[in-house]
Amino acid sequence: MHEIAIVKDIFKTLEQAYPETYENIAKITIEAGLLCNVQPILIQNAFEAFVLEETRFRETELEIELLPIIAYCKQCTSQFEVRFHKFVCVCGQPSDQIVQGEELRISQVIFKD
Amino acid sequence: MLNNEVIRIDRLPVVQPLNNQEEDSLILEWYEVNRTIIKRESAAGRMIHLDKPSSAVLKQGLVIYQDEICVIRIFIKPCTCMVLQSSNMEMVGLFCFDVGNRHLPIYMIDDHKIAIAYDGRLFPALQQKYGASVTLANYRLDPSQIINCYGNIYEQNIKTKK
Ligand SMILES: [Zn+2]
Repeated sequence: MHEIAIVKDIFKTLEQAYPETYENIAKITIEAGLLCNVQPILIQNAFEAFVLEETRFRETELEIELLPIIAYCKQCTSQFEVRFHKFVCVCGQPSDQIVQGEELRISQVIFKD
Repeated sequence: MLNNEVIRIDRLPVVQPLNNQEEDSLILEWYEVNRTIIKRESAAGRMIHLDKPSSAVLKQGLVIYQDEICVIRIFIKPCTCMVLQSSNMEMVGLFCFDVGNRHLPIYMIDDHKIAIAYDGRLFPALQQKYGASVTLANYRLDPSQIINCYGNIYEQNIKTKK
């Protein structure tokens, strides 16, 4: 299951970024766009399975923030949120120029005091 | 009155008869119901440290804490869902197969409606295959509505009972 690989990747990235302190991570926040091709429930479940094995992270929290899809309208030169998969601005102009929604990234890491 | 004390919950309470306590909620996204550690403020501002046994599933309305002052329940936020409405069992079966292959939980909304959380990549693919039978709407995805078809687990249960 490729979500397990994503979770392992997250920890590998954090180990490289914080080699001395990464075992003291209290909370990781992930931002996942609705177009990122990864379902939040699968990441969350993969994380729970990972910490069952890697008990040193038993106290670590993983929180996923879903990012809505935001597109850009050339006509209005402004952004709009794509709701119910409608890639159409309020002005009526269709747009598939995506500004947000494809990202999958670590947005915050909190360490234990 | 709220104080700043953290409410630590490491097991679910045996619910006592309610006694006009204040109702409070721990608000979750639909995909957080299997989380073991959640440190978050309740709707009324109580700090909660939930450390639940991994077997417990956080369902809508579940009481996770109760004292003389308050009752704290799980509240699952509704989300945009891809809904298949069909009385054609073959279509329902195919849909469940396609979605199940991606390991996604499927929720039974009512007799002729099944739903999964909206995904911007999956939706066009499902719409192309199932046409107008697949629509988008907001629903609460509660784990009690998940369709289970774990034949293997059933067999394991029989084995352990012997
Ligand atoms: Zn516009």
